[in-house]
Amino acid sequence: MRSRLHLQIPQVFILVMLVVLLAGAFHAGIPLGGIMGDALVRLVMNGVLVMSMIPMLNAGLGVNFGLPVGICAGLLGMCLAVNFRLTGLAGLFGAMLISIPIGAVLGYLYGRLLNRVKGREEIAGTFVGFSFISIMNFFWAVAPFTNPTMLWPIGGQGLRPVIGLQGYFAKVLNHSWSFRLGDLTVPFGMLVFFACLAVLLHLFFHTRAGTAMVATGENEVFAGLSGVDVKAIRTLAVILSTVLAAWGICVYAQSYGFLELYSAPLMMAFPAASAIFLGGSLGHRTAVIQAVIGTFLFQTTYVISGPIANALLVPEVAEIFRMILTNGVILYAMLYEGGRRRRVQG
Amino acid sequence: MLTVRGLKKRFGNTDALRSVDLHVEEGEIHGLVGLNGSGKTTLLNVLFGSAVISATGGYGGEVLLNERPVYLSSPARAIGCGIGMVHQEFALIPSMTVTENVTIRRERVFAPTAILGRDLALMNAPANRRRASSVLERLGVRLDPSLRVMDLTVNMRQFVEIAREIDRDDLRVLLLDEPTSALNYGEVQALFASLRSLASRGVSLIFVSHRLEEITTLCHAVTVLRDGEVAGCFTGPAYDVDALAECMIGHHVTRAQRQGASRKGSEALRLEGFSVDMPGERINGIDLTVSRGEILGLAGPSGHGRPAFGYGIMGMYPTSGRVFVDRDHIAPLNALAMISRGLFFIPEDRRAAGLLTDHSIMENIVFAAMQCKGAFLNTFPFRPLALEDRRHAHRFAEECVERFGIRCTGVHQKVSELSGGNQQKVCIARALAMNPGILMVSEPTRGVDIAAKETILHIFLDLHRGAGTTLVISSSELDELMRMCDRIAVIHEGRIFDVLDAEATETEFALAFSGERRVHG
Repeated sequence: MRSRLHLQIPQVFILVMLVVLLAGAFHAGIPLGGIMGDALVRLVMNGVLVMSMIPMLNAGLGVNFGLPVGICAGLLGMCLAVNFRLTGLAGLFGAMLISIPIGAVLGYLYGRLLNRVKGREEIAGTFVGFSFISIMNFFWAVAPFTNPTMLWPIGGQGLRPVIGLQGYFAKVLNHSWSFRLGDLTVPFGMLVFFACLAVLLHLFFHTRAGTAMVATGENEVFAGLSGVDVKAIRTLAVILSTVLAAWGICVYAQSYGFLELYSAPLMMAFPAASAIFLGGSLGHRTAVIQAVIGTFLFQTTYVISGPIANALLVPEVAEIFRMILTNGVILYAMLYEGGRRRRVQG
Repeated sequence: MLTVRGLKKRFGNTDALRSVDLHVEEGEIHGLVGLNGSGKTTLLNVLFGSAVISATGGYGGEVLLNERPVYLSSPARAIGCGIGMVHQEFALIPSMTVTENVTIRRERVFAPTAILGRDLALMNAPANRRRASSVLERLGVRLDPSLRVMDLTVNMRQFVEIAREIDRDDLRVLLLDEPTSALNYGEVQALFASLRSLASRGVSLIFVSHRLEEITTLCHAVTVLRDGEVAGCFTGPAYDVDALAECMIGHHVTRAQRQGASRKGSEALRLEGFSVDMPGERINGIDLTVSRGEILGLAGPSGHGRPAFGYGIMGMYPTSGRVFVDRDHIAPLNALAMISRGLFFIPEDRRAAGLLTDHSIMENIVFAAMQCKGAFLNTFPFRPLALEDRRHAHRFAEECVERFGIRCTGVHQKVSELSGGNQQKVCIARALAMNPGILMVSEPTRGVDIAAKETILHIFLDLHRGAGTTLVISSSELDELMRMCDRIAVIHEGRIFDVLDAEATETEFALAFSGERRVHG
C-alpha cells in the first residue's frame, strides 16, 4: 500500500499551498481551532461522496462522472423522509435506508447502460448525469409531495429548489457526540460514522465480490476465464457506487442544513473526482485511504483559503483558486494517465 | 563489421552486463543465447540505442562499426548507423495497415509533389502496397497488406516487424530478438531462407533465440551469455545443442519424456461440429473426443484456429456446435460452467489473459479458486460477504512456490516482476488450486528459457501421473508435443486434419501441417 501513496505533482502542489495558507492564517490572526473543526466536518461531509467513486474506479469503469444519478437517489430518499416527517437521526438514517432501493434500481439501469459503452464510460457517465438531472427537474416539479415546508408557498404544487432541513435532520450527525477541545469542536459521532463506512468499504474489497471487482478492473479477460461474470460484477460496482453516492448526499445535506434540488447536483462530480485524484489515485485501483487523504487535503484547502483571502486579498480570489485547483487536478490526472498509457504501449 | 569491447551496463545496483566482448563479420549470422536474465536483451538494447539504456545512465565500453567507434545514444542514431532491430514485443502501430507499418518513414511519394518536402508530399499508396507485398513475399508469407496490424495474429505481426527491417536499403546490422518464438516450423524455415539471403548480401545478423536447434542450423557462430558475461563462444560446425545448453546453464538438464502410454478411461470431453468465431483464428466444425487420463496435443500452423480451441470452450468467443463434458451437454458455454465441471484453461497470452500482472503471486494463485469454489474464504454466515482467508492463501501459495521452484522474493511479489518461466509456473499453480480434472494449456513454454521449459513440462507430466489429470496441450513446439502426448491432433484451416500418434514421423507431421493428402473437389 505504501508504494501507492507516493507523492505526485498535485499532492506536492496542494501541500505547499496548504503550508502557505496556514502561514497566512497564522499571520492574519485567524483562529486555527475553528478552521480545523470546519476541516473535519467538511472531510466527512464530502468524504462519503468521494468514497462512492471507489467501486467503479476499481472495477475499471473510470471516474463516476455520472455521480448526479446517485445524488438524485439520495435527494429522493431525503424528500420522502421529510414528507414522512421523520426527524433527528431517525430522519437521516431513514432517508439513507429509503435511498438504498432507489439507488439500487437506478444503479442497475445506469450499469446496464455503461456495459454497452465499454471503454467510454467516463464521457458516457458525464452525459448520463447531465440528462438525468433534466429528467429529475421534471419529476421535482410534478411529484405529489404533501409536506407544505417542501412545496412552493404559492400554488402548493412542486418542490422548492431549496428545502430547509431545520426541524428535521439538519446537522444531526455533526452534533452527535461532538465535544470541544479548546477552541476546536470535534464532530466525534460524524468521524466514527465515517470511519465505520471506510472500514466496511475497505473490507468489502477483501471479499469474493470485491476481489472479483478489482480483477475485472485490471484484466477483464483474466477475470472472465477465471469464472467471473464480468458484466454482473461491473453492474454491481455501479450499483454500489450509486447507493454510496446517495448516502453521500444525505450526509452532505444534513451537514449543510438544506436540500438542494433541480440543477444543484450538476457539477458535484467534479470536486469529488478532483479529491480522489489528489489522494494519489490515477483512474484505476484505488485504496479507501487514498480517497480519505485526498478529501482531507482538498477540503482543508477549501476551508482555509476563504477567510484568508477575505483578510488579505479580494474575496473572489479564493473561489478562483479553488476552481483552478479542482479542474486542474482532473486535467493533470488525465494527462498523466494518457502519458503513462503511451509509454506502456511504446 | 561490428565489434563490441568490454561492454558494461548497470541497472541500479545490479550488473546486467559486465564486460562483454563480441565480434560479428560482414554477412555473418551470429547467434546469441543465454537463460532469461543473462543479458541478451540488454545487449541488443545497447546496440539499438534504446531509451531504456540512456534513461538509466548509458553504457560503458566500446562499440565499433567498421573499425570506427560509435556511441549509440538513441534509436535514431543507431538507425543512422545502419542498425535495425526486430523487437520481441513488437514495435508496430496497431491501428495502421501492414503497408503503412512496413514502409513507415520510407514511403514512396508521387514525384511532382516531392517538392513539398518529404513530410507534405502525397504518398503513392499503390507503390507502397506493391513494395510491402514484395517484401512479404520474399519472407514467404501470403498476407493482404491492406489489413490493419491490430487484426493480425501474433505470428503475422512478427513477419510484419521483420519485413519493416529487411525492407531498408541501408541496413548493415540487423538485431533479431526472439523472432521465432511466435512462429511454427514451416514459417521458421521460410524466415531462415530470407535471413540467409540477407546475410549473403553482406548484412550482419545477431540472432537471439531460446530454440537451440534453430541456432545450430542457422548461425555461423554463437556467443553464450551467462549472468552478464560471455560464458563461451562457438564457431564453425564444432558445436551442438547439448554443448550450448550445458554452457548456458552451467550444468546438465534432463529432458521431460512421457513414460509409456497413458491408461485411458471413459470419455472426458467431446466436441460435435464445434465452431469458434475468433478473429484470425477461426474453427469450423470440429469433432473430437478426449478420453479421461490421456494427454492430447493440438498442433498446426498458426492462423489456422489452434488458439481458438481453449477460448472457444471457455465461451470467450461466439461458438456453435455442441460440447459435452463427461457425456453431459454443456449449454450455454461459459467459463464458470466449464470450471464447475472440473475443466480449466491456461491461455497462451500470459500478460493479456493469464495473469493479473499488477497483483501478487498469492492473489493470482488463489483468485480462480476463490471465485469459483469459494475456497480461501473465512467462514461467515452470509457467504458473499465472507472475507478472504489470507493465512490459508499464504500457506498454499508458499507451498506452490516451493513445489514448482518459482523464483521470487516472496509470495507478495507482483507477477509483473517475474520472468516468463516463473510467470508460467504461477499460471500452473493457479490451475492447480482448482484441482481440475481436465486441464487445457496453450503454449505452455512460449518465451520460457530451456531450463524452466523442461521443469514446466515435468510439472505437467507429474500432474498427469499423480492426479490423473487429462491434459490438452496446444503448442507450436512439435518436439515438445511428441515427447508429451499420446495423440496429436493437427488443426489445419479451422478443421482437424488428422489425429496422429506421437510416434508418427516428422514428415507425416510436416505433410499434415501443410494440409497435403487433402482431396480437393
